[in-house]
Amino acid sequence: MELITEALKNLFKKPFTEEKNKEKDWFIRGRISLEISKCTGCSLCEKVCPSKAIAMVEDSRTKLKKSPVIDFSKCIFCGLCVDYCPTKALAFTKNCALISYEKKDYVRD
Amino acid sequence: MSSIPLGPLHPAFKEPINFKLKLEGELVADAEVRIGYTHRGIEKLGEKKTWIQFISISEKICGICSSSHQGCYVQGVERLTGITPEKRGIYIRTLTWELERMHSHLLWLGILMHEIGLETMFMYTWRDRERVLDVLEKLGGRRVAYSTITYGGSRRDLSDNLIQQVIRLSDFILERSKFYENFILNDKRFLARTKGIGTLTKAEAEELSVVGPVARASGVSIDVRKTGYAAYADVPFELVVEKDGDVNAGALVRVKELRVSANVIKWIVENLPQGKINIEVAPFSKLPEGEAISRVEAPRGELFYYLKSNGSTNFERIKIRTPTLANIQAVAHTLRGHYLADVPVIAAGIDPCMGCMDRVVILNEKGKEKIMTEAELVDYGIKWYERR
Repeated sequence: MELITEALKNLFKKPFTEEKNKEKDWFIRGRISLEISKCTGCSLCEKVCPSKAIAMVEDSRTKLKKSPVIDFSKCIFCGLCVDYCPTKALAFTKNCALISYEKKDYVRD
Repeated sequence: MSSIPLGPLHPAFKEPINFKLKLEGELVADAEVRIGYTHRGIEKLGEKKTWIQFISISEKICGICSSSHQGCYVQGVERLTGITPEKRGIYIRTLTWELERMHSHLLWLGILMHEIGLETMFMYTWRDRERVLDVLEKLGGRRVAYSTITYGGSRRDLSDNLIQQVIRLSDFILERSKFYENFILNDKRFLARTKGIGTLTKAEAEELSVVGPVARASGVSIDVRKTGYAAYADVPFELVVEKDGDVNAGALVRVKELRVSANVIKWIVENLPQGKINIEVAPFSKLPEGEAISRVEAPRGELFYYLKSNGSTNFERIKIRTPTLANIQAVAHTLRGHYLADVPVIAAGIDPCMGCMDRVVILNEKGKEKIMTEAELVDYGIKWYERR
């Protein structure tokens, strides 16, 4: 009986391991976020990326011709794109939880 | 006389390497080392990417001495372009190197204890190592690939909060190193497995051209830091040299170096100059024509980079020589005359890192030469793997 109540409790609990990095108050090189309103579509991030993780694709969210999309299964988190972004549209977040079963989860920013 | 292969996949080795051992009873009569199982072609990759991109890739050569590789490469580029890096950046770079040396030595000590069978000691050392990694994470944003070094200095700045933590860490490591030294000198089980095991005399060490802590354990006082690159020209530190040359002396050298590193990081944060931390450079700037060499004392010994540029954004040639390549011959030499059970301890004794070491794969050992096209080479590769 105890086992069943414990199991039922766990159904509604938050995951224990997820997003511990958000509590850290220092700089973490996690998933890179793109602030689409700042992006000018210059494609410098695509050219500077050493692992060819960034692709410039058409995006319905903006009026720009092309905006960057990062494939996090290829990204090595070196931060060159963040350093060289002229308008600071790209930035590191504290989200390091990258594990997923689906390839598409790695691709969106 | 029986012959057995040890490796490439063996529980005693953390990474793939092969020893061909000839045994007389349980004693090793002859040993031959064969490397090349983790060749990744990273030198070629460096020639294909621009020099700024390779700053990020160079730290992926080794997971433990990542910052030494990055720093050595960037130092070579700085020598080629002939700029003087920012002083504050150089100090932070040296701090990263010393923190890395501390975590590498603690990791090595844990692995040695694990090979001997002292699992509790392994846990102790790796718990202490975690304190060092916490500082590195706060500095660079990641535990292992901290990526703190860039052209002209350092990428990340030190906050006051972090400086306090570095000072606390320094005191902590000084305190713990006393415990480790006491253990290494007095523990009966540890002495039985390491005293007189894998002895490399000073003459042998000089003949085999070993580098780093392995050479210093044999009484050869060699350290690239004494040449005074980066901030080492200003930092006062002493050279640790032991005489015995066995695994025990190697452990003692590394534990004493922990103490030296702890003093160095404290000195650096107390004497940190003000100013800029790096030099901004355009993403596709061209290199001047010429060549440069760069040497850095990585945790395992002397790391060497040779860079050749022909005036474009890419390097024409990048040559990397890691300390393990210099030291691995010493293992094959010292194995002779020891028991088979001591082989893992002796192999772990030089702190090997196979992943860094492999620059080339030998396919045809008989020495015939043949020029192939790419398609022929691919075909040959497939057939070679099938034939094995």
